[in-house]
Amino acid sequence: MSGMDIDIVRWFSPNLAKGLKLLFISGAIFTALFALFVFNPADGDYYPPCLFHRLTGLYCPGCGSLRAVHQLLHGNLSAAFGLNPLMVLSLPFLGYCLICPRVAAVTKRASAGFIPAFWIWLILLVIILFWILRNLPFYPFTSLAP
Amino acid sequence: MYCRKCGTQNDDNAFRCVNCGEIIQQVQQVQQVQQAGGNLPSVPNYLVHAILATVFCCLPFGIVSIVYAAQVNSKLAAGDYAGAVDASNKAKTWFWVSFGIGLAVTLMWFFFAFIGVMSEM
Repeated sequence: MSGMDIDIVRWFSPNLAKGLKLLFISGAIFTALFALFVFNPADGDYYPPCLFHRLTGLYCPGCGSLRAVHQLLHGNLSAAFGLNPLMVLSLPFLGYCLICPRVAAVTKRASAGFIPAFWIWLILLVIILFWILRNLPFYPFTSLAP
Repeated sequence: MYCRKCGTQNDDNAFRCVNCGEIIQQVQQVQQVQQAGGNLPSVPNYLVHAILATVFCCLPFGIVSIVYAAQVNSKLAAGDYAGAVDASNKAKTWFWVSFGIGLAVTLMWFFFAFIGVMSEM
């Protein structure tokens, strides 16, 4: 669908445009999850490689996340955690971030779920530490690599 | 009204600074809303987008987005509404850069895989 079509839809009905956007995004996510459930990324070159890993040979904070999603969809939490603990730990936090604005809208409290900047800086620090540590070639950091 | 970026004096109704082009009308509107005791629309920090891009797009650009997400919330807490809007736009831009490159790599990967399969047939 071109941008102009969406503009026309939005002109006539803002709710329809929102609904179509939601439908498209959820459809794309569902398709990706279905593909990840059926085809294991560890089995071959079905999925695109990590550009950062391909260029540098180093692991990025996201390396192993597709294999981890495959394991999660099959109920293997520990296997998923072993492949990318950051991705597994981020899921409950992302859920919290998505629910908070809805709760704030219902309770009419704009401040509900506002995350102080300190915590976002802390998340950034954790991600950067994870990025560095999982590339160290000795125990126990090798267990952070996918 | 003085420009908050370069300090040049502008007409009170000016939209952009005559010297540096910074949008100054927005700041004035915010002050008017605050004086009237009204609530400003909330500023999205795109933290969820930023983390998803970091974990699934495999590029350092998602991290840039997280930096701006943190700036949105620190500026909101400090009362710098215009600064928060600015950081919010940057967080959004860097998410789309990360997502766009990730999408391009994915499409190219499937395109070349398709060509590979076709040439073997």
